[in-house]
Amino acid sequence: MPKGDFLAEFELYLMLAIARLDDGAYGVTIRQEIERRTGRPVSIGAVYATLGRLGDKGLVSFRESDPLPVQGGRSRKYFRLTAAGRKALRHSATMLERMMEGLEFGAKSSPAQ
Amino acid sequence: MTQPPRLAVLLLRLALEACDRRFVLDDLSEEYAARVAAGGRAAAARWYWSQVTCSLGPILWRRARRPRRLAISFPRRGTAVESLYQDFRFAVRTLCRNPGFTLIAVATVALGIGVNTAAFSLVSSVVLKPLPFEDADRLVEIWAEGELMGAQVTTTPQPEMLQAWLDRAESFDAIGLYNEEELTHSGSGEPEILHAAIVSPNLMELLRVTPRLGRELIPADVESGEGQGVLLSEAFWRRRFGSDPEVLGRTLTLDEKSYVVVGIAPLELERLFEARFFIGPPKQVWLPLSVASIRTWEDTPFVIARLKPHVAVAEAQAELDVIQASLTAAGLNEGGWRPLVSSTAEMVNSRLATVLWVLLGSVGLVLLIGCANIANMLMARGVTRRHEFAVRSALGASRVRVTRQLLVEGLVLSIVGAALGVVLTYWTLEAAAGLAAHDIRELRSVRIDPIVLVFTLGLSLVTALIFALAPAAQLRFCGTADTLTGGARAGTSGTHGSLVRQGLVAAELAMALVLLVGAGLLLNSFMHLSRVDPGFEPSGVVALELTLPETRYPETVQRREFFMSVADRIRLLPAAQAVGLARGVPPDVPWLFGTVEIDGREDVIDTSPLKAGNWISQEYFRTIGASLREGREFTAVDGRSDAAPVIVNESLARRFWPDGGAVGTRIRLELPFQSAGVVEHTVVGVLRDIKAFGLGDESDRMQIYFPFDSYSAREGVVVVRAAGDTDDLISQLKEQVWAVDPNLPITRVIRLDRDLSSNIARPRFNALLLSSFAVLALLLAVIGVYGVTSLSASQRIREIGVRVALGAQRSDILKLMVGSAMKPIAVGAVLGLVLSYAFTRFLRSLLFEIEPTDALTFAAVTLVLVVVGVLACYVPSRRVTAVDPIEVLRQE
Repeated sequence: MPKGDFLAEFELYLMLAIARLDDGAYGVTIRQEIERRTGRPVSIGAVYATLGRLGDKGLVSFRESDPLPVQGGRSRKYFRLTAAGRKALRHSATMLERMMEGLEFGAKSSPAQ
Repeated sequence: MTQPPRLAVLLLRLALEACDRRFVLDDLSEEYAARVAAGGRAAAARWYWSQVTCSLGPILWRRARRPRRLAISFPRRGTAVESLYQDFRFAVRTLCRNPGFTLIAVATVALGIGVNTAAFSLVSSVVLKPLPFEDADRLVEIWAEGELMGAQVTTTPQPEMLQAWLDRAESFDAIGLYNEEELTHSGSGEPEILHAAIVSPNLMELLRVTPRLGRELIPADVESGEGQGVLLSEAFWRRRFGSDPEVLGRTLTLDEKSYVVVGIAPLELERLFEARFFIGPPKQVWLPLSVASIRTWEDTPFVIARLKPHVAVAEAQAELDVIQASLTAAGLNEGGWRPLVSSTAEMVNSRLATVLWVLLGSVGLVLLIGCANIANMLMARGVTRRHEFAVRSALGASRVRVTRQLLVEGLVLSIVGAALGVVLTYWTLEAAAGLAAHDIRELRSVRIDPIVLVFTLGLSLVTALIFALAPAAQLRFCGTADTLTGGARAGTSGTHGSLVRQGLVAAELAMALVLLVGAGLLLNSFMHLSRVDPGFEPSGVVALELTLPETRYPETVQRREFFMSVADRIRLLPAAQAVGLARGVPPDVPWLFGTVEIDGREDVIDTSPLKAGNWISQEYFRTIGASLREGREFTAVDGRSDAAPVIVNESLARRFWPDGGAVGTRIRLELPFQSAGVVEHTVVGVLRDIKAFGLGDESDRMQIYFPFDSYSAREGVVVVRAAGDTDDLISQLKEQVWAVDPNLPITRVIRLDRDLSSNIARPRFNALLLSSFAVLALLLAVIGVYGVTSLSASQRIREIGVRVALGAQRSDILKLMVGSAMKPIAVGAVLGLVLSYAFTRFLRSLLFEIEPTDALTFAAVTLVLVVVGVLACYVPSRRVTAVDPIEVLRQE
């Protein structure tokens, strides 16, 4: 990852959501995960646009699932972090932690694995 | 039942990119369905709408910002046309992304094609354009070839030959005759000299043209003594009669004889005689010629004939040879003449060949240099684009496909360049016409025509091919895998490419050197020419050329008296410092054809039959500012003296009397055109050499002067040295002429200094033309050197970094870089010198007092090339020496 290229806040949320959802990360679950945890409304367009950007950077990858076994069943686009993505996430989280160290509203957060 | 709001779906569908569209819509539908089930349709629809409106922003923002994927697109299976169109679009986009490169490349092509189209337009309108007549390829000229006074000449036939051709030749449909003459038109308004064409009545039928108005000349016009028919030229008809069709039937008085206007000559006829066969001023009237009036060689006309269908030039030649043999057998060919049949095109070609070939050769070289330059630039770009090509071939693009892509790029460049080049041609031709049309008539009629456009198109296609082939060839030498893994970046595998590029630069420099040498020679020759001392003082001298009409001045005595009395009257003008009479003034002094023999000097053989001769009055030399070296000028009684005095020039005197003593000697002159047999003369004076035929004439031209009193022809020149302003003087001179004969037209007003300078207009134009091409070529070659050096500098930057890190000094690096750039310069210079040595002899006929292999010119021009070349590689080399080794090595 090039020097000086920090993850934007929303990018960080997205990557954390994907990390949390593990294998079940697709549009709906990612959006809901962020909305649920941050309490802020999140639009599906913002999710996909940011995922696209992360994809360009090589931080996330996706695969298309087989169509669901029902009439007119659709396929989903499942996202996961790449090795570089995990590294970037760990890097950002660590830096966030360091920046917050000693501050009184410093919250405990565990680095993503 | 659970369909989300249609309008919202539509909006989102429009905004989304194809790759995400399906997934986003499905994701939303999935949640929507869940929300309908949980909270009802209204709430779900509200939620859906808010999702869509909040999504539009990020989606559109991303679409706008997203990096385009240009270089790598999967080859879609399509028709050939479709993929060609793709290539074309891609080429345009690629070129637009490199505006600097594209600009230089297009400008180079435009320049190259511009000058080439201009040159080709010139050649096409002067040489290649077919004559404006039906079956023009069957038109031939017939000449007589032979030896006259030791010189080979091609001239009009002897009267016996002409008569035999007319009577017996079977190879021709018709034989037409043509002569020119100057006639005095009088009777209405100011008297005027008209340039007349005297033509056989069948000439127009032979050329397959018909009069614009009225009828053509017929044999009856020749027979009737008075009231012969005459055709007017379009221009003369317009000027003198305001294009009045009622002019037919009117009479015209020419040389005191009346003619009836029967028609207006077609334009084609005028153009034929203006630009093609015979050099002479445009004709204003066309008179009938009668074969019966041709008695002596001087009367014989030019001969044009139309071959019968399917008769070759060689067959006609063979027939005339047989006729000539029979004439010789009958004792009618004393001069040993041979007939010569030649197609009109050949005659025209030989006349202008040298200059045009030099022109075409030099512009061709400029285009070649331009091509080499662009190929070079494309190859340099090829190095930087190697990665792109490697990726493309890794993704399945065949080499054919990549090569085609390169070809299309070259094509786009050259077509845009060609379009600009045609615009440039217009300017060039206009500029050239403005510059030289006054002195060089061929330039006036030059136009860009369809043939030239086809030529340009062909040229640009060839150019494209040459451009594209260089980098395409280079492609073969870079392995895909190497390039992708970064191995090729080291610059080591570019050895082959850089060799090709250096070769191209060497070739460019060699071609530029050839042009520079040519330009240097012409400039040098022009400088010689303009430094020539004419031997007299032309400024402030004016002359009136007069032609007395035969009818009113039949006797020699009358003619002399006329000229004498005009001179006497002018002598009284205060504005006239000196007045002389002559047959002609430089550079239009009559040719004297003949040989000189001297008693006691039989060892000297006169081998140069072409001399300058003049008939002059006493004051003539003083008037033009020439002076005698020894002896005396003519006196008033010399013309009637039995001694028949002549004045010769230094060159002639030096030839026969190297140790002096010419004055008082008898010389024998054999002048076949002036008098029969050999005539004895006495030399009374020796003139310091003057340039009688203009500045470019041989420096040792022999000249002989006779007293004006012994002169008998109708043409003469009154020469006057002005005391003050020449313009005022001229009108006073005309008044004096008209005071003696009010009906006499002034044939020509001559200003000696102007005529002398127009004499060097053509050499000046040649030198200027070739110099501008040479400078252009040098400029292009310098761009080439600069480009190659900067590319090699950027490729070797790591090497240089290492060298600097190991302790190399700036001067060492500079020496290294300039040294390696010197190789192509040296090779180019040597190659260029060899080529120049081989080619400059074609310039020989254009050079004055300088050898085509002039060592000084060669050396000076080579020095210029090398210095400019070294400068061109010094600049980018210097830049490299400033690299920071740490910075460079860190980039590893």
